Amino acid sequence: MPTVTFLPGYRKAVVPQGTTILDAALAAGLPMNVVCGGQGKCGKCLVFIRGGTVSFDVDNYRRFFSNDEIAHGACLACRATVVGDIRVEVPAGSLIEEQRILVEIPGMEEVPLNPAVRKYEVRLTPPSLDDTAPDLARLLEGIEGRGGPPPNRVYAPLEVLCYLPQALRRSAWHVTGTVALVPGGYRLLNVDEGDTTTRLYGAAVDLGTTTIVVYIRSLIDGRILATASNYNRQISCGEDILSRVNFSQKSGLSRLQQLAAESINEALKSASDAAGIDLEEIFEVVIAGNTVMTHLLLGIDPSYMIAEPYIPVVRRMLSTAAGRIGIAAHRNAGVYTFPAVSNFIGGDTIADILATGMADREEVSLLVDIGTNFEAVLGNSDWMLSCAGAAGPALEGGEVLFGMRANPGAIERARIDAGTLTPSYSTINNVRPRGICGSGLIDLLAELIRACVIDRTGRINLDIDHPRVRKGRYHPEFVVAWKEETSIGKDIVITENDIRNLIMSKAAIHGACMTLLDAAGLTPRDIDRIYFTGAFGNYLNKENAITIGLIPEVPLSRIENIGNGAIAGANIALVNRERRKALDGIALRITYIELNAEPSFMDRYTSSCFLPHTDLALFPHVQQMLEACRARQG
Amino acid sequence: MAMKALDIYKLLPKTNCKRCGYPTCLAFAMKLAAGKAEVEACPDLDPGTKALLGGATRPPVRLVGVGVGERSVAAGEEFVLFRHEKTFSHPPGIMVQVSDTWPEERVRSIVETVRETVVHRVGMDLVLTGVAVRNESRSPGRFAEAVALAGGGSTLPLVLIAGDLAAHEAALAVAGHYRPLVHAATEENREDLARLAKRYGCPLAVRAASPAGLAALTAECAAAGVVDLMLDPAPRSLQDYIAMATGIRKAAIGRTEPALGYPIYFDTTPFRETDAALAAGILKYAGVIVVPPLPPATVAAGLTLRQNIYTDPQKPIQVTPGLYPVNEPGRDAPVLLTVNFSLTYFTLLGYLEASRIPCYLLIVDTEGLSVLTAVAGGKLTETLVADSLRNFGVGETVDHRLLVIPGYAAPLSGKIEDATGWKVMVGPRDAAELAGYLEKEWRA
Amino acid sequence: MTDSSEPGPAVREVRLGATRAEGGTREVSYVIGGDRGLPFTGNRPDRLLVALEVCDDPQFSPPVVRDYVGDLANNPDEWARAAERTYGADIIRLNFTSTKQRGFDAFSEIAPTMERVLAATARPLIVEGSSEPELDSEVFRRCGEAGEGERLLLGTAEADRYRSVAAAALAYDHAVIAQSPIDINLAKQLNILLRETGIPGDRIVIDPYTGALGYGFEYSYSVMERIRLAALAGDADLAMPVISAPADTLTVREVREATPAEQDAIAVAWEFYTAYASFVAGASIVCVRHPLTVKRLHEALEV
Repeated sequence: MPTVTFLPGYRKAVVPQGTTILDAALAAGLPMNVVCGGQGKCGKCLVFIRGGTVSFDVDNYRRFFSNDEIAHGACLACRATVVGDIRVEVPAGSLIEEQRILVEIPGMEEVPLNPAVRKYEVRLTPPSLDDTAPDLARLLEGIEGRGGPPPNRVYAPLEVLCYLPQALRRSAWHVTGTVALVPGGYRLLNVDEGDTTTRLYGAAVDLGTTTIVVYIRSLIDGRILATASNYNRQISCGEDILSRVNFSQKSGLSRLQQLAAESINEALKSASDAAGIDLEEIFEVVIAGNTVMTHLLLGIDPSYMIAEPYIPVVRRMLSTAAGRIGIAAHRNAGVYTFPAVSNFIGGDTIADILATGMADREEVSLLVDIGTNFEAVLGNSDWMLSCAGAAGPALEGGEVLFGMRANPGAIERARIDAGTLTPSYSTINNVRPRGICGSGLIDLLAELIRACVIDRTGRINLDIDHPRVRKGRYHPEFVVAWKEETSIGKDIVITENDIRNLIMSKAAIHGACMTLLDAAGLTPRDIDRIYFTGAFGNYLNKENAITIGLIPEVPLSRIENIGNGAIAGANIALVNRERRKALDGIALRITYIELNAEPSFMDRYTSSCFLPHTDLALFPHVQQMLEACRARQG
Repeated sequence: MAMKALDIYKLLPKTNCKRCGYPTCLAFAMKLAAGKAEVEACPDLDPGTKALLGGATRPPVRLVGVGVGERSVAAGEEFVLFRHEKTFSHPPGIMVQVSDTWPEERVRSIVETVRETVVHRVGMDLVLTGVAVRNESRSPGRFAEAVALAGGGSTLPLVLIAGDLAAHEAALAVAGHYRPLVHAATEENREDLARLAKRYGCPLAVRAASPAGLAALTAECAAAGVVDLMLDPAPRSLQDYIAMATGIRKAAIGRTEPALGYPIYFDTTPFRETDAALAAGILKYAGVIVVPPLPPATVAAGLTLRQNIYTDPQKPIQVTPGLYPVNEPGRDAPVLLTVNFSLTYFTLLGYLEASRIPCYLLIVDTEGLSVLTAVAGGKLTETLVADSLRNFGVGETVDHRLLVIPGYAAPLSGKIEDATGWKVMVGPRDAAELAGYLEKEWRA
Repeated sequence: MTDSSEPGPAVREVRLGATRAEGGTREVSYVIGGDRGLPFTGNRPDRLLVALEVCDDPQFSPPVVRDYVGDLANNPDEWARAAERTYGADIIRLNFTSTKQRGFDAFSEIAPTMERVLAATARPLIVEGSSEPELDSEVFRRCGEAGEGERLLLGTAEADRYRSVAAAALAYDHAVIAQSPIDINLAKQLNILLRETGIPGDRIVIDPYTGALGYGFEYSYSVMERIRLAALAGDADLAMPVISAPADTLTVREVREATPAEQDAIAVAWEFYTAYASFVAGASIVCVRHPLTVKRLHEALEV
C-alpha cells in the first residue's frame, strides 16, 4: 500500500490507493481544515505535492489557486486521491488552529503562548534483537511521534548523551525530553526520567543599568509564577554606562561580565524560591538590555563604542547557553539577548517596541522612554524612525534641589489651589514628604503655570505677595511644604533653577519628538498613539505632561503608560517564538537619526523651552486652558 | 523638490540593501528630500521613478564661470531664496570698472589695486574679483588697448562692456581666450553677440527691461548654442533691482521659468550711492557686481558683508581651541570655560577686554556650537573639559583649581568637578554680566 | 514681478511719538510697520527710520563718536538738537549710559535729563533705560513718567527682565523694545510673555539683537528675514516691526585700529552696511551712532 509522508513533520500514513489525502492526514494525526466538510467547496485544505503523483482534477478547482501555486503542485486534500507513494507538504494555514493560550504580559495585551522550547513525554519500546535502533535515534523518533521535530534536525549535545543510556533504562524507557527551537534547527536540552511535562519554565529579564527585573513563567500554560528585582551589582564598578566601559578597558571586562550574571542570578534565585521551582527547570532566558549592558553580559568588549567612530561588536540578536555565561538556569538553557539598532537604541528599546506592538500596526505610534537619557521611536509596520539623547537627570529628581527618585517620602502627585496657592500632595507610602520625584515635579510645573505663579519661561513672579513665593538663597522659589509638614526639618521648595532644569529636560524630549515628526513629514495630529515608559513607572499625569509640553498634544485617550516596557517585551519574546524571530527584522527596519547632526533639532529644542511651547498652535487645548486661567486670575 | 521623505520612501524598494550607502531606505529617502543624495545611488529604481525623483536635482540657477585660473569666479548653482533655508553657494564677483577714456596711469593703478587688495578676516583672505572695462571712447582700438592694460584677462577676470559689436570684436581678439563676460546682448544685437560669444566660448550677459524680455533673450541665445548666460535686468532704482532680482530668483528656484535660471548681473555705476548698491547686490542674488573704484572703507565693509552673507548657516565659524590669555593674566587669574563658536568668543573677548580683568579663556572644541546648543546636544561634556584642561596644560599655567563655567552649562557642574578634580563656579548666562560676576565672586 | 501685490496679513503698525493733536509735544509722529510683503517691495520709504544715539554719560560712547561730535557729547540736550537739525536723524535714541556706572544712584537726574532732551528736539524718542536688572524698576518708571504722553519707544525688555519696562509702558502709554539673543523662537517667546502682561501687539518692536558686521551679523540678518517671513505667514506673535540697534559696531577692531584720518570713513562704512542690510532684511528702525551715517542712509533710501 502506498505511503503518504506529510511534510514538514515527516508524519506518515500507509493507506489504500484511492484514499483522499485528507483521510490520509487524519490517519497520520494531522488535523486539517475542513470547513466545508470535505466537499471541495472552501479551498481551505490546500496542500502541495512534493513527490509522487496523485489523482486530482485541477481544472475543476482552478479557482482556488494562483498559477504559481499550481506550478508548485497545489491541490485540494479532500479531492486529491493517492496513487502511489507521495510526499505532501501541508502549509500551516491548512491546519486547524491550535487552541490558543493567551498569556498575560505585564501592562500589555495578551500574547498567544508559543514558546520555542517544549517537553515531550515518551514511552519507548525497549530495544531487542529485532529492533536495534540506538538510544538516541529511538528517543528522537519517539519525540517525533509525539509531534516533535524530525530526528535529523535535532542536535544532541554530548553531555546529554553521556547520561542518556542510564536515564532510559532506569526509567524503563519512560522519559521526558526537552527540545528547543534554535537558529538552524532544534536542540535536545535535557532528558528527565519519567514524566516532567508539567514543569517547564522560562525567565524574562530586564537588564537595566541600575535595576534588574526577572519574571519566571511556566511555558506550559504561560502563568507568571514569581517576579524579583534587585540592584545591578556592576554599580560597584561605575554608576553609569560610560564609567563601566572605562572600567572594562582597564581589564575589568570579565569582572563586569560576572557581576551582570550574578545580579541576574540573584533575582532568578529569589524568584524561583518564591515560585517553588528549581533553577534547573528554567530552560529559556530572554534578556532585554541596552547595547553596552548586553555586550558586558556576554563578555564582549564594548570599548570601541565610546570613541570615534563608535562601533559596537554586534547588534543582532544573540543566543548562547546559560552555562557558557554563568546564568543560573539549566546549563543548556538558551539565553537570548535582544538586538539593538544603534549604540543608543538598544535591546531595551526593541523590547519596548515589542511590548507596544507598534511594529505590527498601520497606525502611527510614538514611543518615548524617559530616564536620564531618553529614547524615542516613531512609526508603524511600514517604517520606523528613532533617536536618543540626554534629557538630564531633572525628570528623575537629579539636579533639582529637593528632587529624589520614586522612593518612600517622595511627593509624587501635587495640586495647587489657584486662588490660595496652597498645595496639596501625596507621597509614596503616604509618609511625610522628604522630597519630590519626577511625576510630582511635572505636576508642580503644570500647576504653577496654571496658577500664574510662573511665566512661560518658568520664571517665578516675585511681584506676587504671598508667603510661599519668595527669594531663596540663590534663586526665587515656591514653598511646596513647610518644614512642619516634612520629615527633614526643612521647607521643601521648588526653585526657579529647578524649574529651568526641568524645562530644559522636557524640551530635549519634546524637541526630539518634533524632530522625528519633521523627518517623517508628519505633525502631532498624525500620531495615533503615544506610549510612555521609563522613569515614571506607573504614575504620570498625562494631562500635566501635555500642559508643560513634555509630549505633543494629542487626545488623552491616545496616551498609554506601558510601565516597564523592557520586561514586557522580554516576556513576549519568551512566550512566543514568532515574535522573537521577528526582532532582528524590526531592528533592521528602524532608521536611527543622530540628533547632534540634525540641524533642525536645536531649533526644535529652543522652541520647546517654553511652557507649553513657543508655537502655541501645537497646543491649542493647553493654550485655551491657560488663557482661561489667566482670565480668572485677573 | 517638494517631495517629503515619506512620499519618496513609498517609491523606494524598501529592501534596506544599503547599496546606496545609507543604512535604510528611509534614511536614503530623508537625504534625497534634503537634497543631500543622488537618486542614481539606488540600483533598484526603474527609469520612470528615477526621472520623477531626480527631476529637480539639477541646480535651478546655472553655474557660470568668468575668467580663468586662480582668480576666476563662478556664479550660480543656487537653490534657495533665503540663506537660512540652506545656504547661498557662490559669493558674487566684484568687478571694478575702468573707462577706456581714462589715462593709462589711472587704469594701471586701479588694476593694481584690484590685484593687490586683500582683507584678512577670520582666517580668510577676502579679495576683489576683477576689472570691468567700459567702452566710452567709441573707438574699438582704444577699447582693445584698455582691455590689454587691464591684463587682458590673463590674471584678473574681465567684464567687457560695450554697445558696439566692433568694440567687442576688437576686445575679444585680445582677451577672448580668458573667458571674459561680454556685456550685453539685447533684443537688437543678440544674434551678432551670441555668435561672437559662441566663437570665443565666453559667458554672455543679456539685458532687457523686463523678466519676460530676459527670458526671451536667454531662450534665443541658448538655442543659438550659448548657454553660459547672465541676466542684467537694467534696474532703474535700487528698489527696482531688489524687486526684480527677487522675482528672478524666485522663478528660477520654483522652476516656473527655467529661462530665468541664470546668475544675475548688477551694474552699480549708475547709482549715486555705491555702498547701498553694492550691499543690495550682495544681499539680493547678484552673481557679478560692477562697481566704480572703491574707497578702502567700502572695500573693507563690502567684502566683510559678502563674507558674512555667504557663510553657510549650518557651519558656524570656529575658533581654534586652546587657552587664551586676556589682559595679561598671572598665575592667580580666573580660568573661564567657553566654547569655540566664533561669535561667543568674540563677544566674550569684547566684554573682557573692556573690563580689563586679567583672565584666561579656556576654549574647548564644541564644533562651533554655542554653549546652550553644545550642552543640549551633548557636545559639551565633562570629558571634553577634562581633556582640554589636560591638553592645554591649564594646571601648569595657574596655581588654583577653580574653573568658571558659563551659566547655561550649570547642569554639568557636578560632573565636571568629578571628572577634573577642579572646583566649579557657575557664572552668569549672559556674557555681559561676566565682568560684574568676576568682580563680585572671584577671590584670587 | 514685485511682491507688493501679495495678499496676506500685515506686519502690525506701531505708532511712535505724539504730536500736539495726539497729546504730546512732538512735531511729527511716525507709523512703522504695516508691511504686506517682503522688504523693499512696497513703496514706503517714509516708514524706514534712522535713529541717532545720544548718551547722558559720554564715557560709554565709542571714542570715534566722541572725537567727531566734540563738546556736544557733554550735553545730551545739545547733542539731541544737533542730531535732529544738523545730522538729520528721524528719531533720537536717548541712552541712559550713566546707569552702567557701578553703584549708580542718581535716579533724580533722570527726569530732568528727559525733560531737557524732550525740549531740545521735536523728534520722537527712543529711550534706553537701565542696563542693570536691579535698577530697572526705578529707572523705567521715571523715564516713563517723564515722557508721559509722548509715546516713547522704551528699551529694553528681555526674557528675564521684562516686568519693569512693561509696567512703565502700560502705566504711561509707551511702546516697548523686546530684545532676544538672535533666536527667532526666543523672540516669539518674549512677545508672548509681554502680551501676557497686557502690552498690546501694536506697542511692541522686536529687537533680535544685531551683531556687528563681521562679528555675527549674518545671524541677525537671517533672523530678521525669518521674522518677516513668519509675519507674512500669519504668525501673530512675530508680526511686529523690527529695530536694529547693534551695540558693538564702533568698537570692533577695524574701527579701533583705523588711523585718525580713516577712522570716520571706516566707522561710517561699518555702520552703514550693517544698517542698510538690516533695512533690506526687514528692519523698520536702524540705530546708529556716527552722525555722518544718518545722511548716507537717507540718501541710500532715495536711490
